[in-house]
Amino acid sequence: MARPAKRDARKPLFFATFALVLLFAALPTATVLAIGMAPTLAALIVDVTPGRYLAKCVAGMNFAGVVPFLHRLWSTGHDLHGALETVTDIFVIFIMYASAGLGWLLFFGFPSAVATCRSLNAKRRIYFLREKQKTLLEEWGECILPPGMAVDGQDAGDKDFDPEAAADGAQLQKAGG
Amino acid sequence: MADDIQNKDPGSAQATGGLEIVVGGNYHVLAGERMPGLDLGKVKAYAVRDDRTPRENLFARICPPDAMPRMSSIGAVRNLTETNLMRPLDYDTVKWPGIEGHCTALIYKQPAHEALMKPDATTINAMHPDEITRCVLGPAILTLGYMAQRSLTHRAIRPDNIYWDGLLKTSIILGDCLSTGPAMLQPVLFESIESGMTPPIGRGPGTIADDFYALGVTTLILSTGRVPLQGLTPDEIIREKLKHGSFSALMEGERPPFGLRELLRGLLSDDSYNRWGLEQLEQWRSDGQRSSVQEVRTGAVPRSYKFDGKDYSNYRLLADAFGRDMKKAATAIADPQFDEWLRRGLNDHVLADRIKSILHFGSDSKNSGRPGASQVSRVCMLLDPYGPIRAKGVVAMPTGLGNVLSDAFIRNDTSAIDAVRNCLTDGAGADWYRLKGDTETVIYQQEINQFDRMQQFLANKSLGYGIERCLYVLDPHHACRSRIVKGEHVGEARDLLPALEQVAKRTGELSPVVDRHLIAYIVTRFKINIDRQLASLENDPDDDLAVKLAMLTICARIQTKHGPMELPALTAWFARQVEPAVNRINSRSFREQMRKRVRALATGGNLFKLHACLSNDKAFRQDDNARKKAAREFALAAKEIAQLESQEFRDSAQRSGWKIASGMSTSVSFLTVFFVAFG
Repeated sequence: MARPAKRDARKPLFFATFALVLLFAALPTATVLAIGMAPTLAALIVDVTPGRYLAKCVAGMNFAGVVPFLHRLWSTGHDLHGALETVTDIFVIFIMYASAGLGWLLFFGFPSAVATCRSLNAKRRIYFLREKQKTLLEEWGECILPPGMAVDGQDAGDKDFDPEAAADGAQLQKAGG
Repeated sequence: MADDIQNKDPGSAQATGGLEIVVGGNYHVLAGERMPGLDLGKVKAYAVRDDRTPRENLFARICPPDAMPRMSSIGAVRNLTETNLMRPLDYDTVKWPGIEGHCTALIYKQPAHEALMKPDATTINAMHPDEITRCVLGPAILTLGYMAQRSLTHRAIRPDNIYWDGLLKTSIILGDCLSTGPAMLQPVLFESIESGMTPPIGRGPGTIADDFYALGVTTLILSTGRVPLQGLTPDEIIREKLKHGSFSALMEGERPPFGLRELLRGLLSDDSYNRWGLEQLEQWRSDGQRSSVQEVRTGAVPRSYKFDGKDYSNYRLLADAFGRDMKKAATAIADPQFDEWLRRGLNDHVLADRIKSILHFGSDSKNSGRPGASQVSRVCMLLDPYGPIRAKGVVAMPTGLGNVLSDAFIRNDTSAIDAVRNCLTDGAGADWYRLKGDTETVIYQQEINQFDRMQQFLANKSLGYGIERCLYVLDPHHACRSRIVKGEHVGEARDLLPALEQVAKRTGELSPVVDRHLIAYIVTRFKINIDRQLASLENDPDDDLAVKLAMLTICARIQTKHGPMELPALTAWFARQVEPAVNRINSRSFREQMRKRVRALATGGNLFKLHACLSNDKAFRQDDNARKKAAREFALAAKEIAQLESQEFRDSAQRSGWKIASGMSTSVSFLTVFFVAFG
């Protein structure tokens, strides 16, 4: 348990060191990154999801929006003037922030789609399992129910035994227990 | 069973309405044609017609249940073809009008001539000793010899039960010895002292020595032409025999006929070990050998002992008196004067010491140290070792206890049953043999073991034990007394299931399913191990289904072993009763299948198949295993459903979405880098 804590403690230090090195070694790149990756920083700050998926989604897409302009900066001499030109270009900023926005959209939209798909699968599976339980109860009666689930006045030979109700009862008990 | 009752000519019949009862398929017992001359006490004789041999004179003796016919000897006696013995041609159990319960009908050929003496006669023409030897003793000894070889005893040898035989009356045949219990009709005169002291019902089969004694008395009567000791009561006859010895008492001071003196001395010896047997009789017949038998006055003492106001100069008589009044006997035995009399009057210190030890170890604390009935009984045994068991309420020979118990049950005499129960519980039967000494203990080990078993049976209160078990063990031919088969006769083991079948057919049910008599009868008569079923009956007496299943198992095993193979009414009833047992099966489809099978078997009449169907352990095990598997599957399904419906599942869907989204985002960024770098 000590090692992850240590690593977590080093992480900001690592990023700070990287930022400083970048600032002094490649100021134009650092300038573009600082301005272009601002949505990612914001996402990092507001992200409370376990695993920081929001930050990851935004960072990936945001970086994809920044990379072409970094490439242009590097291919045009990599000077501060070029960097300032880039970050002051409204079109460039729109592209960078729009790609970050796509990251936001991805974060908010995709899980719902996945959950909907999985929920549909689950419903189908639940239906199949309930049918199986009903069949089992019809064949075996309440003797296969978990302890405490026996319905009063019903036994294995009881003709009025309702397997569906018993199966539902089993779920309720399962959910309760 | 011979219960085919046909209505004959109504005009010829009297009290019994001209009924004919068929025995053995051929012998028509004419209920309206009595033959009182051949009656034996309460056993009445009737004419018999056999259509195969209409000229043959036959008769039947109808033995009511309390006559205690000797069922165990009938088969063996029927096979004694070479003997001068009245043998039954056939026998069966019949319902006889006017008699409650089932009677045993014995078919005999009528004797060719009259009996040697009429039943109530006191005198006859004296026979010459040679004629007695040739016509009476010869055939009688031969017959008794054959009987002894088969461990049979006659126990009914007396002049009015011996018939002349042959055209010229040159021989005799010994009369019926089966219609009543052993020696039940024998007057005390014809019985040895110890047997005479015993009530007729408790005399037991005895030994051949008892038959020789009776033969001796018969010979004496035939040779002297008069019945000795006339006008005396049975007790007085015993007293006379003890006082003078049997030979002298019966001779009444007269000289024995020439040539018969030694024979009579030998046969009438009161010491059964010295009494003449087959060997001596054969020797006597062949060469007239006269081995001298000294007359012994058994039990005589020089100094009398006063008990209950009477002087007793014979300790066998004293034992008899003790047995008649045990309370007074207990007081007398505890009195030091009794010990003094034993040591000085009897001069038998060994006996005195043995009695002292019995009193010392077994005094009854409830009676402030006074000996209990058990100790009095043991003292009687020591005083009269060959006399009967004298217990509280019971006087019987050990081999006669079965008859006493049977008689008590037949009469529904609970006090008599209790008396026998107490006697057996007390171990009096085994002690009767043990107290005689080491040799007798070894010889009679089998009998001792049997009485020890009786004690164990009585100590166990479970079904299949108790006094009912003792009854069926001690009387191997006692009919089953279970109220379940009331109205049916279950004399032999093989009759039980047919009787239950009849009950089921007649009443449509067996109610109750078990009782103590039925189980005791089954346990005794059928050599099958039903301990598991007994335990089931014992543990769940209120579980009707368990009881019926146990009974089905027992009946099925009996049917397999003894038949009959078809018992439709009983099988149908059992099938109806035990059908709920299929509910033990968990699988609905298997249960229905089994229910159909049980219903199909109900009409088949085979209890074994029904039982096998309901006790198929392999199928039940498979069903149980399948149920467990189904329960597991059900539980797993429930678990999975709960999982799919849980918040956690929804959360995990969201997490998955985020993961995929972050993965896509990262991929896009990498792809962009790739295209920008290499595009």
